[in-house]
Amino acid sequence: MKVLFTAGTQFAFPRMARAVDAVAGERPDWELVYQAGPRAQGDALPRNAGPLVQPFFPAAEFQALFEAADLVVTHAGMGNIMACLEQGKPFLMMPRLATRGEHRNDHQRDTAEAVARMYGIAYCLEVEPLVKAVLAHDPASHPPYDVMERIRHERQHFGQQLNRLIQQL
Amino acid sequence: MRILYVASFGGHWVQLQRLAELVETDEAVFVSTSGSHNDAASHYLDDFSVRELWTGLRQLPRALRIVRHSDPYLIVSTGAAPGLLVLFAGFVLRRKTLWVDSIANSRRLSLSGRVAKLFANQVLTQWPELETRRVRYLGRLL
Repeated sequence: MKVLFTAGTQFAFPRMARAVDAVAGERPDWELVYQAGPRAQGDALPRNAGPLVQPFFPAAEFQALFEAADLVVTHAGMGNIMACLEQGKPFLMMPRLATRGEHRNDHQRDTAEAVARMYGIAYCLEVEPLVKAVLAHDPASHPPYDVMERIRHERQHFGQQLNRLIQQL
Repeated sequence: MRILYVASFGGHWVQLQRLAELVETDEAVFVSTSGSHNDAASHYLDDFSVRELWTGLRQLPRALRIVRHSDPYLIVSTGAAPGLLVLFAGFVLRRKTLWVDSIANSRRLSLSGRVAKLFANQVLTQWPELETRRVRYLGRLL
């Protein structure tokens, strides 16, 4: 199985590196990729030599890795979440937490909760349940079929309202 | 009708592009943040946080030049601080300005969005429960 982990570009996120390490230890034959973020060093990098790790993959390379992945694990950044929902990519979220010094505030936790509520996507606040969820992922599973249809509908409505607003501004 | 779209790279940028796809306009010009493998914009600013006020204000002349040069009817930003700066430059130059707060802010409007309320023509949230007298909800990208 191919799993793509992404940490975003804000502060270092050592807990995501621990999750990559744990999955690499349990499944040495899986192909793991980790985009660790430009500020990742020391304990924010995996210790296991197996996974392919880079601070930042160029856009075209990232897109290819994204398309090849059976599962994406994201820090609950909105760019990743939108890409996964739009392209029907199975994903899990572990938001950065302000209490751990991983972000300035807990908006990623709020995001993860909201996306879980709206689209039934699982999120974990700790490394251990995240690792369990990754190991238990069934590559044959698909996100609910109506996700893309719902997004299309939301945007169509939003677009009509936006164009009306812009006429009135 | 030319629209100037501004967002820093990452989730804000993805939302800006989706938003631009929904808006009917003759011409769209994009502004983003530099040094982030991002070559899709026409103009760039250095990234900064809304807490780094000085880094931001130092770039105000550049933001004013971008607005003058592109001469838009409307400026739209999805965040974050660099978008706020260009919106402010637009306010100074008497352009119409629209702030669309990121869908990532589901419990409270972003700090930049709260500042934008002070001068933008309109501030939108993507969460109905955050709608107030000054902040409207007209829909969402997800």
